[in-house]
Parts: sequence; structure tokens; C-alpha cells
Amino acid sequence: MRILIFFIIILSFQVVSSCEKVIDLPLNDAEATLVVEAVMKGCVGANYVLLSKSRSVYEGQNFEKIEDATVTVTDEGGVVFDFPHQGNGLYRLPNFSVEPSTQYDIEVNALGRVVTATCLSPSKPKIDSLTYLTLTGVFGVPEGDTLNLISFHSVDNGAEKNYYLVKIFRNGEENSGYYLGNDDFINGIYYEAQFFGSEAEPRDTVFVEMISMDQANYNYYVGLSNNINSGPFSAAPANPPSNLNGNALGFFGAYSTDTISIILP
Amino acid sequence: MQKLLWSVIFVFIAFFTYGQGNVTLSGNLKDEETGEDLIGARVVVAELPGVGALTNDYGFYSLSIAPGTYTVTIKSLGYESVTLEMDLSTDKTYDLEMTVEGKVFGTVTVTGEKLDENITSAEMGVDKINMKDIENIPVLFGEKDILKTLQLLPGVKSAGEGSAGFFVRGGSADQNLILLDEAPVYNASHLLGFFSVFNSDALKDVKLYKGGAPAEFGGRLSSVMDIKMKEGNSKRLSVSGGLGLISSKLTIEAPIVKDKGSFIVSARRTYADIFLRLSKDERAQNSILYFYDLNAKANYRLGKKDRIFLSGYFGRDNFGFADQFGFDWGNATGTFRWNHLYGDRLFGNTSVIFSNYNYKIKFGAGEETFQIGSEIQDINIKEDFDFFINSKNTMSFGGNIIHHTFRPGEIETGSDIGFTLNDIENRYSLESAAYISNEQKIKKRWKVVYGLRYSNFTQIGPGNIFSYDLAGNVTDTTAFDDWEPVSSYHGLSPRLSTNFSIDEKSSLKASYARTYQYIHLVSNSTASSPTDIWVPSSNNIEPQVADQVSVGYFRNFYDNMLEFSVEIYYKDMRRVIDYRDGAEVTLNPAVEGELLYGIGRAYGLELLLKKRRGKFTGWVSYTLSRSERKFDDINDGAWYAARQDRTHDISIVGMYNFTDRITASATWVYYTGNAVTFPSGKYSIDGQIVNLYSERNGYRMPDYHRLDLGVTLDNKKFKTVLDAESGKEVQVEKRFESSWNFSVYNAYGRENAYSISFQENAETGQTEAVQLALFKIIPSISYNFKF
Repeated sequence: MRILIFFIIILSFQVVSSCEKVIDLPLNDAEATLVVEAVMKGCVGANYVLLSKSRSVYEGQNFEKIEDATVTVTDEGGVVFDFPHQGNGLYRLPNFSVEPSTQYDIEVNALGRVVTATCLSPSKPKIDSLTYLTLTGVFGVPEGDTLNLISFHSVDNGAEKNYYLVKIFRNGEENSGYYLGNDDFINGIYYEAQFFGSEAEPRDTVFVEMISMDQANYNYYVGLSNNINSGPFSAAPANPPSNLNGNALGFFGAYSTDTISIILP
Repeated sequence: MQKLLWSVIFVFIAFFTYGQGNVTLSGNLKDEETGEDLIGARVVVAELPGVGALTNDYGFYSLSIAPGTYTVTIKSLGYESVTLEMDLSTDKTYDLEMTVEGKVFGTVTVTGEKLDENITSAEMGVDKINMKDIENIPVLFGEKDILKTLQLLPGVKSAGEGSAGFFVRGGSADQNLILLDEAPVYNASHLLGFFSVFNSDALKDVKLYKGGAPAEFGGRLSSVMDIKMKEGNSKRLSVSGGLGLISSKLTIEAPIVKDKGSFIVSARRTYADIFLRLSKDERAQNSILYFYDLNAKANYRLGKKDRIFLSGYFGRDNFGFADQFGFDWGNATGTFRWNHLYGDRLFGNTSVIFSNYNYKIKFGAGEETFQIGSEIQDINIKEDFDFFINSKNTMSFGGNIIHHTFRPGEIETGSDIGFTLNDIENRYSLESAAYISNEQKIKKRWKVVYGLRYSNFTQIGPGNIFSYDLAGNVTDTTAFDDWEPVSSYHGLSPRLSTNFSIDEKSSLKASYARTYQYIHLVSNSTASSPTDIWVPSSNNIEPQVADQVSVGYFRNFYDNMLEFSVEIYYKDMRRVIDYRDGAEVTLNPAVEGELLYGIGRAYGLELLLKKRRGKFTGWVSYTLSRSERKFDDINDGAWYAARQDRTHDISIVGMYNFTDRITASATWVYYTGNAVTFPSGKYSIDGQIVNLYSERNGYRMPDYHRLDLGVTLDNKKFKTVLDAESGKEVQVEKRFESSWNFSVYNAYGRENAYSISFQENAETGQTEAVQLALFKIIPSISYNFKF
């Protein structure tokens, strides 16, 4: 919606005039803070914890990595998994995998502080199928050009509140946009969603990953997208609401996923 | 409170008895040329200093005095005064059609309302705009706009370019009640805020109460903007119109039956989309972007004692892209009124009012469509009485009941979509109020308006009503039947304003008002947007409450040529609304869980110096103010500046009449930049750069300033003809009047910041602060005519 309205603004007033310029704006420097990005999924090899530090706005982008931390994940049965450092702030346990509907706790010991979080993985989502609609001369596609609008079909689990993040990859490359949604309008029903803006060309391979998450992680992603896409029509900017306890930025997610791919003719 | 109420009633009864044994002079005052009712015209009696009556909103006045012979003078804003001897031994009705002042060939007279009105009236914290000034003040694209012009007065602040929203005395934009012929207008902006929905050609009178509004008004915390549409010319057919750079408009008014009834129809449409077709950008060429609005009103006098009015507004914005995407939004209002005179001292008005605001967003074409909509709709029945007790007391009382329907999200899918989606449930509520108010002259120099308003708000079924925990998660759902009460709130709002005239030239005023607000605008954005939705007070949301006190000193100089006023105010607000970090407010059934409640305070000093007469007219206004908020979950529970907190706000408006045909005008505005939140660090998550924020609204946008210039050239108003009898050349007024208006918005091309964002430079990777300015210099031209 925000993007849409912004588009209208731009459209209305590019005709008239509008000008962008870089200005000199002094900003306060917040103290460098620990950043925890902890992603656990229901498939082997996709789990990692990335530890780094924040820095001032006008500094470069080579964020300092934390290489001397200890990271452990404990499942609801009390089994403890150690995530060893593998270089460049990345902590991984290759054989670890998230079970659906299970509670996980994380403990990160870094920069002299202990950061903890708890996350319940949802039930496993199911992508029913991917279909495509060939477009020529409509939806902004010029005559003679052919693009395929990908549709995604699934059934929502009516027994629980579901929050989804859906990522689209084209020929192995992740699309810059992702889809974030809950089941407010689709609770327990079969539904279809079009990936507008992710149209594929003939003979492309399209891969879709559906990530089901708890409410705290969903709120984090919503906050993250507000933070990144801030503009005149966005909310008063704020840090995404974190599920971490202890002085740290970031999140801990234990996700259940499903994937599917399609090769276009 | 019971006791207070009884004593108030007792006082009124005392007035009733006191009122007996007098004779009553009453009647209607109208404009001779158009037949429009004159609001606020005065009837004064020379033999009884300090005794007089004012006409109400329908041009009716009533004055009760002891029998006798009097010299009665009738005066009104910009009209020739009329003085006559009257034998008032019995009750008398006297209607008058007044002549516009300055209708003398070849001369110009610029007049205002009664010249010392600002000194003698008990009203304070009221901004009024002369409709004539609106025509001369330069505006963006030459599109005359009352909302934009009101923002040049002290205490009223523009929400910035790209927003028709305005802030009154530190309140937020949704705390303003905007009434068009009594109907609330829920979204007063077109084209995302660049224009207001009010077509000034159809308007007669605008008044903005910044504090101490009469007890008749309620329902919003900060202000009441009371806009009245013209009734239409009851003397003859009159057509006026204008051709502008981005819009054109046409107004037709005519009698239905001469002197008994008339109508007015006014329409306006923009053609910004025509410019889009000229654009080189293919996307722009395929786009639709326009708005239109239609105002219509009719009135008819059924007899001496009865008159009916029907008025309506319909306006819509349309935005679309080829046939794949459509987004339209707009207001519709309707008001039916019946005036009735119960005797010559009690004036009654019954109104039935309808108001609707909705938006629709449609994706896809043919049967492959997906449509989202949202709506708020009111039906209001209102009864008001003006009781002209005697020459010292005028009482108003009445009540109303509003049925609100809130449709937060309706989703429709075309038949080819293959599945349906669930709507968000509607919400219903009843808002009612009763009020009584009296304007009393206690001593010759001391006037008091006091009143009491009782309001009630009841959320009703049907619906599945959620309860939330402190973290905003739904904990419970309860089903309610049709009309079953879910939760109810009520409150008493005392209102008081008083004027003590120190001498003929100066007065001291003070006012106090309590206000309740039961419906709340949920807007996650910092600018106004068509998708903002209104939510009712409920089992989870309590009403907002504010108390405001203000005092002022008013003084006129040089025989009322210069007006000066200073007012200070303090406003205390409770249960104001903000949002949780990362809140989702669009199409969220559990939106109430995203809200946070806090307190607010606003205080300030407002100065106004105005020159009312002469070739040069205009004003200088200055506001020094603070507006702060405090929420447990925001900014670590510390006070922070509200977005609309502006330390300094200056407006200078000047108009100069070179000749009776050339008027030049200039306005200059300056204000402290809005309070904003900027990052104080950054970090990386999921391969993206994320801003780190430490304090809410801890920074300021750059200061805003802008100069606008305008010139209005009137074509010749008079023609020379040979008088058939005398054979001499005489000048007569031409029936066809026309004028050209040239204006320049932002004359010195200041790049005022619309937004500031932090972006990585594509080449160096360095983070930079990038400022976006919407406008540089915008010249415009328009042609207006009337016959």
C-alpha cells in the first residue's frame, strides 16, 4: 500500500517538479550494539546464527563480526545443540533441523552479555501447486513480449493462527521482494496468490519457499519492512520488535517450510 | 454535578420570567442582490446602549425589549447600515434586504464585519476568513482553498505539503471536526492532500473554533471547523465559473420561486491526467488521475414560519493504471433541514444528516479481479433551538443521535479468481449528545457564554468482539446480537467563555472547554492517506478527553483599522492514541491490539496583527508553541515532541489594491521543521541494511519557508451608457464580470524538505541523507467569470 501511494505521488508530481539532493545532516551516534540473526528451519543445512555489531549511520558497511561467542539451541526435550563458529561471525550446526510444533530456546554469549529467546515452530505448511498465466499485451507487458505471472496455491491450516513469509527465486536468484501475510482473510481455506512484480520469462526455473513462523517473528518482519521502506507514508520509524531478551538487536526464528519449483515452457 | 445542573436550569427559568412583559422585534436579514441569508448581522438600539441581537445561521434575529419608540440600526459585514425609527408598542416582524457596501461607481471600499466585533464578542480562539480574501491570496496551482488559507492564521498549522491535514493548537489532524452544512467530512483532502475537498465557489461562511467551541459542538478534541454552503441566488439566475491550470469549475444558482426558494449547483473537476498523457513516461501515459466534486443545495420557504433546506456534497478521487489497477476514494454528505419559528423568540431547526467516506482498491481486469474496500457511514438526527429570551440572554439547546457504521475491510473477488476471502467484521455504534448554552450580558462591559454538553457513546452489536492482553494479543472473543450494547462511555463537557471590555478599544477574554472524542483515526503513516480508517471507542479503546484553558487580550488601534490580539492556551489531553512499533493498521481485524494509549499536553502563545481597511490590508501572525506526548511503551516512557510540535510559526499576508481593478497579494510563511525520528546507527539483517533508532522524534526537519505572489486583474466593472432621459453619459454596472488571476507558488524556489531518507550511494556504498523536495517555483494562471 505504501509503495502504491508513493507511486501515485511520484507519478503526480514528476510531471510538475521534484528534486532530490544529498544534504549534510549531523546525527547522534548510538552505542554499538550486538546484532543476532538466528534462523532455524525444518531442513538440514539451512540453519545459522550470524553475530555482528551495529555502527554509525555514516560509517561504511563492513559491519564488525563477533567471532568469539558461544551459541547453543535447546529443544523442548532438553537436548542441547552447540553451534560452533565457522568464520566471519557465522555459527552453524550442519545436521540440525527444526521439528514442526516444537519449542526451541537459544542462548548467545557474546560481548560479555547473555542473550536468550524462545520460539515455537508452527506446523508444516503445504504448497499445493504453482501455476502460471502467460501475459501478452496486458498488465503492462508490451505486445510481442511474453511474461508469465506465477500463481501460488495452498490451503491454510484452520486449526492455528498462521503467519507466512514467501520468497521467490528465479534461476537460483532471490527476488528482491518477498511476500508477508497472515491468515486473517484465508483462515482454513484454499487460496491462490499471484506474485505480481515477479513475472518470469519462458524457460525460467521458478523456485518458491514458503516459511511459516510464529507471531513474534512475523511482527519482526513487518517491523523490518517498515524500517527499510520508510518514506512519507510509512509509520513513525522504529526498531522492529525483537523477541530477544538481553541487550541485542535482531531475532530468533524457528520456522517450518515447504518448497516447490516449476520450469516454464 | 446534579446540583450544578439544577442551578443552571433555575437560572434559565429566572430568565424566562424576566423576559415577560416585553415586546419582540424579529425577522430575517438577507442580501439584496443574491437573497443569501446574512449570518451574524446585528440589530442595535440607540436608546439602549449594549442592547442588541445577532442573526443566527439562518439569518433570523429576535430582540425583546420594553415597549417604546426606538432608533434601530441594522449592520452587517460589508453592507450599508440601515437606521430607522420604530414604534415598538406591540411585537413586530421586520425583514430587511441589505445592500452591499461600496456599490458606488468607481470607488473601492474594503470592509469587514462590524469593525469592533473582535473586541465586543465573547468568542475567542476563533479564526474566521473573509471569502473575499480567499480569492486574492495566492495558492498552489491557483486553486483557491479555504483549508490552506486558514493555515495562515495563528494556532492553525499546515501538516505540510502533500497534506490537507492541519493541526490546531498542538492537536493531531484527526482531532478536528470538519462540518459541511452540519455533516462531518471524514477525509477533507483530494489528490493525497494537495487540495481540500471544499470548492470555495459554493461556500458562504467558514469559522474555525480552536478552543472554547460552543456546547452545540462536540466529538473531537481540538477544533471545530464549521463550513456553510451558499443557499443560492433567490433573485435571479447567476452563473460563475473558472478555468484554471489544473481544474475548471462552474456554479449555477437561481430562484426556484423568486424570493421563496433557490438552488445552487457547483461542480469542479481536475485534469491533471491530461498532463500525464503528455509525459514521455509510458506508465504515466496509461494512468488516470483526477478528482471531481459536486455541491448542491436548495431551499424553499413554505410560509412565514417554515423553511426547508436540502444540501449535499459528493466528491471522488480516481487513480488508475490502464485497466489493471484502480484506486478511488471520496466523501458523500447530505443534509435535510427544517427551520420552524415557534413564536417570535424561539427558533428551531431539525436536521437529518448523512455522511459517508469510503475507498476502493481494485486489482486485475475482467473477472480476474480482487477488490478491497473500507467505509465509514453516519446517520445523524439533530434538533437545535435558539431561544431569544431577552436583550441580555440568548439561549441555545438541543441534542442529536448518530448511528455510525464502520466497515474496516470488505473484499470482493471476481468469478475467475476461484476463491473468496473473508471480510473484516463491521462495527456499529451510537453517539448521542444533549446541550444547553446561554449567552448573557451580565454588565454593559461583561459578557459570558456558558454551557454544558452531555455525550454518550455506545458500541453495539452485531459482532464478535475481541478482548486483548497488554501485549495486544487477542485473548477472548464474545458474540453480540443486533443492537446489543458492548460497551458504553459518557461524559459531561462544561464550556465557558467570557469577555470583559476594558474600554471601547480593548477587551480581556478567557475560555475553558472540555471535549470528548469517541472515534479515532487509525493511520500508521505520518502523512494523511486515503486508506486511513476510523475506529470507534470500544471495550478496548476508551474515548480521548481534553481540557483547554485560554486567555486573551484584544485591542484595536486607529479607529479599528488595526486589530491586535494575543492569546495563550494550555491543553491537557488524555488517552491519546499511538501505535506499537511495527504495527499493521491496514486491513487488520485485530487493529485495536496495535494501539497504545498515552497523554499529551500542548501550550502556546498566539499573536495576530491585522490591518482591516485601506488600500493595503493583511495580517501578520506568529505562534510560539509546544506539543508533547507521553506513552509508557514509546521513548522509554519519557515526554517527547509530537510530530506537529513547532516552536515558531509565522505567516505574513499582504494585499494591495492598486486600483479597483488590480489587486496584488503576497504571503510568506516560515515554520520550525516537524519533529521526526532519524536513525542513530545501522546494522545488517538478512543481507539488508537496517536503521537503528534510539529516540522518538528526537530530530527536526529543516525549517520551512516559502513566498507566494499573486495578482488579480478584474475586467472593467462598469460601462458608460447614455441616459435616455437626461441625455448624459452615466456609468452602469456590467452584468458580466470577469477576472484573471496570476500566481507564483514558492516564488524564490526554496527546496523545502518533503522527506529525508537515508540511502546507500550506488557508487560509493556510503550512506547519505537524501532530501526530497516536491516543488520549486510553480506559476499558475486562472480565469474566473460571473454573470
